[in-house]
Amino acid sequence: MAIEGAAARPAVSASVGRSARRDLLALLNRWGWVKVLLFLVPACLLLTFYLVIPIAMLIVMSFYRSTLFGVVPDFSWNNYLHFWRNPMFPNLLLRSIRLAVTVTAISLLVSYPFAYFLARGTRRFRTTLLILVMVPFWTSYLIRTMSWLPILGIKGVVNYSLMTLQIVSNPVEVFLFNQFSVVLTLIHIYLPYMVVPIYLSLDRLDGRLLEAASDLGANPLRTFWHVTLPLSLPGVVGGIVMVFIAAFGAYVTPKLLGGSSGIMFGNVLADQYSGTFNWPFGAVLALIMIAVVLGLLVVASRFTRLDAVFGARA
Amino acid sequence: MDSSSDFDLEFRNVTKLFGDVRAVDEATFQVRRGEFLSLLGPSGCGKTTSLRMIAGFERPTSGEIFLDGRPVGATPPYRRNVNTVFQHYALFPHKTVLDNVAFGLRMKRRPPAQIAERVDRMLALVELPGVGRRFPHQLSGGQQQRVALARALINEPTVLLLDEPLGALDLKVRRRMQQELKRIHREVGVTFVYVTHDQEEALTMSDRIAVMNHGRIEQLDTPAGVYERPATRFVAGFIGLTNLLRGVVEGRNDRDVVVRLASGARLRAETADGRAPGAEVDVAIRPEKIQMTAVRPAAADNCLEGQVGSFVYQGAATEYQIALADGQAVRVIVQNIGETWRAAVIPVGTRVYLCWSRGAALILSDVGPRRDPAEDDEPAPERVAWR
Amino acid sequence: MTDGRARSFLRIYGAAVYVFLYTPIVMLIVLSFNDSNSITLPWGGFTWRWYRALADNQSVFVSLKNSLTLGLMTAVISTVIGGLAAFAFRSRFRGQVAVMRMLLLPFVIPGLTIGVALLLLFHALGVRPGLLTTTLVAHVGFTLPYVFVLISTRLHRFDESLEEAAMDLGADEITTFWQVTFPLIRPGIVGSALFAFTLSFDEFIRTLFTIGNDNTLPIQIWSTLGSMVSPELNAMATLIVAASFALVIAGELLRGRER
Repeated sequence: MAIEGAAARPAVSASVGRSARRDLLALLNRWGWVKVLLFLVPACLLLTFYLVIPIAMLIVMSFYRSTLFGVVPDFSWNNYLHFWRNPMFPNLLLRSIRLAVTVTAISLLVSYPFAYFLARGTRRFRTTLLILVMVPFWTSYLIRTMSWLPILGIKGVVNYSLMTLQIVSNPVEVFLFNQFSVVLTLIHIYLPYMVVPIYLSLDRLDGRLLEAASDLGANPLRTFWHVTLPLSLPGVVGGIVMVFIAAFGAYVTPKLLGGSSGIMFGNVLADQYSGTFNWPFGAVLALIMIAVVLGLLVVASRFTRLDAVFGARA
Repeated sequence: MDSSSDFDLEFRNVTKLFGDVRAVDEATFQVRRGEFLSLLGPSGCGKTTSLRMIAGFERPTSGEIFLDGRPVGATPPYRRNVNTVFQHYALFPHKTVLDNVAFGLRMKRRPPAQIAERVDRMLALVELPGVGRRFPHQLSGGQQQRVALARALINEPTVLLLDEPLGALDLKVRRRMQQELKRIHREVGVTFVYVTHDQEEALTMSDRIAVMNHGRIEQLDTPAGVYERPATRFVAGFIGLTNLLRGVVEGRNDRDVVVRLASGARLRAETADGRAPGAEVDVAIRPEKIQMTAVRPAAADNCLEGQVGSFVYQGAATEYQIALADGQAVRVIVQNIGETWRAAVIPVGTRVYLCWSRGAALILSDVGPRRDPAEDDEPAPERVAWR
Repeated sequence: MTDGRARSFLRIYGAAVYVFLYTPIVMLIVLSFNDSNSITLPWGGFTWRWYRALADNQSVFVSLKNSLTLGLMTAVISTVIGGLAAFAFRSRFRGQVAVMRMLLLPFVIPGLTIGVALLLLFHALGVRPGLLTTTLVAHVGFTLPYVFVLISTRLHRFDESLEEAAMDLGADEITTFWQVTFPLIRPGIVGSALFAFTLSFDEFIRTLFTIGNDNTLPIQIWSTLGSMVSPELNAMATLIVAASFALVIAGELLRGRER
């Protein structure tokens, strides 16, 4: 096909550039895997340094010995034994798991109806309501944790109100620096982590399925139990995983609000790197924390395809 | 060996495998310059895959495709002189109609003045003057479809590919667009390859139809050929309605074959097919070609006796379900010619005679498709050159 | 559920949850104007003095600058790396499930353990902790899965026939990307970058272990909490909440434009 009209003669360098481009594209078309590789290298490289090697170092460090003069490279199971021999540590682990489970359970109970309200209860203002849920999500958990101090303390809002209303005559100390304050605060700051996945899976639910169930004789309660709940399960599992991991791995909240009875696993872990400087033992604790989390993931994957929950496609 | 350049498009033994699935199976055909060819078949028959191989989005697993006499090989889509009208138009939502239509010419770096003039001419051709500044989402479905057509045609492709372009439109709009497409095809003279699953559409628009099934081309013929002389049972069943009466070949001479049905009735059909006596075949007769009478006619090539089982009023015609003596059912379509339908309808239970001439029926067996009649000498269709 | 009573119950319940979510934050904002030396009640009168003190506080400005710089760099690098990875996943390739699992793994590893592990890594490599070196690695690694998921989802919704149409009309792969693909996914990409910025800005635990002597805003808040607790903290927190609010609105506007 002849090109009509007068086109300016391209400069030699431009045509060389164009044919280089042509060759490159032809090459990438022929060997598709080259393109995939090129695109994935930066991410894989980064994650090697962010994830793979660091965790490997944790494993290596967990076998080193900690002496008075510093850390000595070695291969010894001492640190692991130290964990088991001193009942304080396994107890702390169990307590932290228990706290995290409590946070997750209450969070689920509180969040599900709320997510349902967002997904199926409103039509107008939905964008505004969603934004209002997201704003805390986008605010640092440090700030949200610290925002409970003025409320729960002996000079805090709660006590102030109780005394003003003359329900008590002296400030009550029970609200702060214990497990209660830790659980309450953790529920508060990680609420969006539970609400959002459940909301997303409820939002995706086709209303016509509910109509079909109703058409076939199911009252609202049974429709919920047989249709809505099972179909929202991926979101529920996703929320449970996210909240548990966040709560179990908590450091800031227990440190700020937990006092001495509200200490969690993360605090002791962090201490090994500031106060005690027992890096090998700290590595053991870190690995145990990761193991618990991975264990939860394995259990959760029995219930739903986790890749889909985290947003990746099939 | 190169292909003759009388043919704008040629497939030679093209096969496409997706894993184990044969999406296209040894497809071989030629398309003449300026022809309107339809690829017709049910979903999964390979028509869209074939189209995509012409456009360059898929490569044949084996076999070769020739464009304008030259093999396309591994040429990417942007360097083939082929353009596609996509099923859902694929108009660029972030560009105006003008930018959409001009896109191909801009890629070829044509001078802006020439582009502007051609765009105006194209929009006039598709009867959408003056929408240049609008965005696709501001247009109706029919208008978007025309823009997609203009965007493809403006590049003067060797072959224009259309992938079920009218599927998303309402019936009335679709009928109108079918006429439009035919008009544009005649005016422009470009070869059209049109994919559809709607046999009515294919019959009304095409110069030739390739009926495909499971990746194979079962028949490639003119619309009349495909309708009147289907080559296989699939084609007979896919295009329009057909009655298939199973029987055994009893005897034959030069022109006729006598088939004996299970009930003992004998039917005569005209055929050149070389079925030997004893072979099991189907006699295919279209419902509208059967004469249904209450009285047995004196002279008739073929007649079967039956009883009216049920009927369905269809407006312009009535479809009767007739039960034969041996239990087979035959569909007959009768035009509602009379002044009142009620008076003319034949009641259930009436004994009737179904008759048709030798040439109206067809013998079908389950062997492969007929030869491509394009190899016979036929004049190229008249058209007005646009170039 | 069209039952009227159920609807009202849900509405009241929803309102209650919002109250629970926002009471602490609202308290924080209110108390930042409290003319009293305690971060909590009693109320001593309205004052701007804590905000004035903030404006005079040099170290806060340094921390803010650090957080902004770090956030910006993290957003850009993370979006590019994550975006490339998302594009890689448009084709099928061997081992893609394993690679995706690795990309999503940082979601579930607790930040504390990553922080500790990174500390070990940099110590072993002899790299001194610094804002734009070690902390940047931590932040980019942290935000990568978020960006990857966001862009992947956007790409998944993208109509590929638009790209085929462009190629059909003569645009090669690179031209198609710039003329068709990128303009249409740009709001999504910018939104992802914005989210990555926010994540980095608020990030604390990994930063704690990888930053040396520098401060980001969260780090400074933390050290202030440890030493002297004053309503100046409330003022700082209020400003950060306001900024988050603005960012969320910006993000929503971007998503709205895309529709």
